Amino acid sequence: MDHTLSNGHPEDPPSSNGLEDSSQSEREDCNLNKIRNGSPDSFCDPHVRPSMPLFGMDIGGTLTKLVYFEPDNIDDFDLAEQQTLRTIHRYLMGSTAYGTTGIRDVHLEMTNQNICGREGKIHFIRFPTSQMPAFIDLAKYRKFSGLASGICATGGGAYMFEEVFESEVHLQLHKYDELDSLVKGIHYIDRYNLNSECYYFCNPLDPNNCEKMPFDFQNPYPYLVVNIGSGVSILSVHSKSQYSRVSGTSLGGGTFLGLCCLLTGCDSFEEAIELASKGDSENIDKLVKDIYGGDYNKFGLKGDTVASSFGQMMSKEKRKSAKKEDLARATLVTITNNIGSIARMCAKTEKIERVVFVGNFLRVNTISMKLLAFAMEYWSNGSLKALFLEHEGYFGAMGCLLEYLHLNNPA
Amino acid sequence: MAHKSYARSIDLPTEQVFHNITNARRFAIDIGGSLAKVAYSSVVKRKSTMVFDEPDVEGVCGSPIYNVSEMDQEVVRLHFVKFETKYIESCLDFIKANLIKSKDVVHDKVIKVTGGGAYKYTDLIQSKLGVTVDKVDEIACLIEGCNFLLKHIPDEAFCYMRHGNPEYKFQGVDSDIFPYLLVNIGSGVSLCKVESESKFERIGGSSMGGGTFWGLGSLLTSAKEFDELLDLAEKGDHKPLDMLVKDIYGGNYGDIGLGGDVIASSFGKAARCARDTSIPDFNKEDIVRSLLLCISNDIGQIAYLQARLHGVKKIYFGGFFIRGHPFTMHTMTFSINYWSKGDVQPLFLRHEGYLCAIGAFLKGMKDGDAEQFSYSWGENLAGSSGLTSPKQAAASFDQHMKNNFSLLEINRLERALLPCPLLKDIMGYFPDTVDLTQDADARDYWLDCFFKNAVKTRDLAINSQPMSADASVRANNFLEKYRSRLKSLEQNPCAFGHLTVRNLLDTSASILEECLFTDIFSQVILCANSAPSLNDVVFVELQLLAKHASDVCPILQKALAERRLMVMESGQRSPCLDLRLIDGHLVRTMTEQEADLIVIEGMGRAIHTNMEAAFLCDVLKVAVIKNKWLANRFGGDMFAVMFRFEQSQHAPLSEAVAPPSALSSASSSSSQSSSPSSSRSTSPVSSLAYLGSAAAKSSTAQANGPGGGEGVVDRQGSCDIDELSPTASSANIPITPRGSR
Repeated sequence: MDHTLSNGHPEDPPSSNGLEDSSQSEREDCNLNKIRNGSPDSFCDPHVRPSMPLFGMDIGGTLTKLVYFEPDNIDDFDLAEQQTLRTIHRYLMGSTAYGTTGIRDVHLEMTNQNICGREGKIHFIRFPTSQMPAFIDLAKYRKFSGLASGICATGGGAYMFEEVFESEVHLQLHKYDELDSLVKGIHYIDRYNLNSECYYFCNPLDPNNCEKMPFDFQNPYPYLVVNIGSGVSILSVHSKSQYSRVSGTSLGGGTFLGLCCLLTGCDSFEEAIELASKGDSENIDKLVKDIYGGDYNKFGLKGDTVASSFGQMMSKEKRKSAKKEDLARATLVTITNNIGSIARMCAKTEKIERVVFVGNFLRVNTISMKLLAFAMEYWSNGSLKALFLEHEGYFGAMGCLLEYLHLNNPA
Repeated sequence: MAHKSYARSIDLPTEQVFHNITNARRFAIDIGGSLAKVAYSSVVKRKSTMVFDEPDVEGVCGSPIYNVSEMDQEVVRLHFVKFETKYIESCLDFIKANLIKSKDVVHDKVIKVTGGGAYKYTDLIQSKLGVTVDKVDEIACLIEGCNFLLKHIPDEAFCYMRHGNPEYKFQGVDSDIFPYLLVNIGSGVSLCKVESESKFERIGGSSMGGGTFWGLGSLLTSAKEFDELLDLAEKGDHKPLDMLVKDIYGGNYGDIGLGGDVIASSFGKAARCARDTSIPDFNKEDIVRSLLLCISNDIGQIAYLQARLHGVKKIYFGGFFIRGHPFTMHTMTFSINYWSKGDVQPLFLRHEGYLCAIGAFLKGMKDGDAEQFSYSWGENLAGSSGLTSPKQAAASFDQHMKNNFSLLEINRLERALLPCPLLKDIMGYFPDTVDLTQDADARDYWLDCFFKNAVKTRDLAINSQPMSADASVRANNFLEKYRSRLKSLEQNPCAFGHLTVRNLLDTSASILEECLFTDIFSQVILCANSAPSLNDVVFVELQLLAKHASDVCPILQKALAERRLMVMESGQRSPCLDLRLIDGHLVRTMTEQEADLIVIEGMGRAIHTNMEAAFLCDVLKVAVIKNKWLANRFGGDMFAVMFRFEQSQHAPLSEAVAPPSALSSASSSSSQSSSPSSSRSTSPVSSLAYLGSAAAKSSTAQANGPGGGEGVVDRQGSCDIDELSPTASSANIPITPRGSR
């Protein structure tokens, strides 16, 4: 499973555009080598202006994440580019919601960004991957092909939808590995977010005094990234260019939402989280005290530790009286604790103390973040620290945008 | 009463479930969140004939020369019964009502109770059974039970390979079991690292266990029972629910080696319920399949991570979750192999559900009688439930009910059993030449063969107890049980470990025993002269010898105790044998036991006399010619062996069979004497009379002694004990001289 950048960039899947193939991959290798060598500002070359527009897209199993860099001074560009940028501006900035399901996360917008000598803002947009056909129709209708020569994409959808983009929208999808992009995106955003990107929860064991606090992530290595999307990937990161995927689990955000939909009939992540926030999992789970009448002292298990998730639901009577809210909460707690437990063992195996949780599962989900903070602290006797990043699920898309710079601007 | 809601009626023949409950001596109970296990020991009485050590040698001819009486032999047996915790109250009532014989034995005693319910049901147990409950730690019991099973029960642990032939690979008995990781999957999951009998720790746990499967599964479907859910899972397909790598990538995620069929997100497709689409309708079978897959994978992964963290290579799974369910075992095995690349071995246990109960029981026994631990234990194949067959998984209601009450019985063996120290590779040793789980042809043949032969065995059983009125009822009971076992082995050959001819024979023997037949096969009457002559051993000496020999040889001891080997006197004093006048008791015994083979051994008995005698049964005439003249006369050499076998002569004699003989002239068959007519037909050897000298009181002192009427010659100091090997044809006295390798 190990996949380390220094072992070479993963082979590019065959591109449908044969003409550009060889030169393109050479350029890419060149740029990657630069990153691997760890030059202080390797994200881009300030002397080479990238052509606009700058997009990065991460097409995940459930959500598609889109990152867009919008330059401040559109007048600096040539006319064709200006027109493109204005069209995009009109469409994207005119609203914070697109269709019924697309959302622009305004609170995450990064201002005063300098990418290759251009000042500008970075916008963060998401929509369900199930809406991809609608997005493709839109792109076709709006003639996106005239706006950009290609889009850098990562995530499984980059492969899944490559052909459709090519044939319907006439846009080439430049595909990048999602884990490479993820790590790059984390490094960029952490470094250039003017507000604090990284945070933790102080006093995680004390619910009344548990608070979000900024964390200085200046010297992060080594750290573990737990990316919780539909599923979960766990990476061990040892330097800017050295990381490996150490584990993963299929029990992730998709499992939470899938089970919640089946159990409560809810139909969105927000609704599921809303239900969970009003519920109590102790009506659903079997706790240590439900079995032992109190703590299981011999092995240091507190009475309120969950012994069996959904354990009370073995009883027919209890099933009848189970409330939606309680079921949603139990699902959330089960999935979160399980991820925490696997992450903890990986951290221990890798001898890493900092565990960074990212991914859209954590969006509007303070319950899970606090649970993870608690779990790391409690089960490791304080030796592990759970860290979180503001841009939760956008790192892959951000890393992908950065790849675009290398694609268009060979050093 | 607070526990009223747990009382349910059980529509089960409970007296069959709680075998020998009326004799129960000691109890232990393991009450888990969903399943309860009752362990008890009983003393099983077996009919057995005993021969008194000090015979009355003065006994006159015709009266018993030693006292033989039918006695109840006592065997200590451990019983384990497993059922759903909600039946606990009715089960306690049942036990209370049936503890007739041993009420006083149990009353006011301390019994060990473990599991979460130890706390919850203490009062109930104390009031129902009139005992004091001593709560013992669950994990300590678990590990004690696991160690016990691994060390004592052959083929307890096995690997599961879905595509293997056979699917199960059993581990045999291992004395070197540490270190290992024990993953106990009850309502939740506990992981323990076990380094020795006394050194273990709980290193982690997970709340996603059997309770999660059961609870979530019941919420998501209308199924109520655990096995119902397993059945649904067996029929389902996880792909409609789970988001696979190929659902996201359209194929493999090649860069990091994730195949397209790897699950990226469990239930991920159920999450696609955006506002504008209708909620898809999922099959309950598919839902449960996804659930089982996701929990099994998760447990496998967590077990692997802990094993790696703690440097352990073997993982055993206990608890109530797996239940021999092939799909679950396959998923866990796959998960652990996937993560460890084959470096960590997942092992399942045939009796996964009993670990804690066994441990609790052993702890109670240790308090009472530490000596018990010097014994060996063996599974009573007749009374235990086997693994569920994959084919039975789509179970009938009957099967389902049987699963609710599963049984394990373990017998205390009379002696400690240890591995043979001369085996070159005890770990690599496999006693059986053919593994019937692997060799389908051989399996079909032997299962069919034993099935057909069971009738014969039943008949032998009936004949072995002519005095017993219910022998035929019991023998038919044997027939039914054994055949139904053979049928179930046809369904799942691995249900009781490796399937071998040895196991099939063992099973037959243990079901016979269960039906109160001790030995239906051959018996040997060993005869010696009543009074001294030459250096021949006489009856009294033979008795002493047999006694001493049986002190060192448990097989002989057992044979003597069970009267399969009887020492009797011939009534004569001559080295020759005149069969017209032999001991009356011997005559009676030969008649009663229907002796069907006579072995006549020695020059005096087989050559000087009886050489031409014809018998109603088969006869073996064996002698070493220790006289040169006689040897010459027969055309052989000194010390040549005469070995003469003649078939019973009650039927028209076709041809006497003469096995290869060193003394060809002596092997000419006996004259075709007209035999007395008899309707008795040839039957398998069931009783044999050995008429030999059982010679040499002392090989050196008397070897060249005077009065050697036969011209006894030097035996070169070798002990001419007229080895029992001639009777080895009876297969009951497998004594082979040491130098025979």
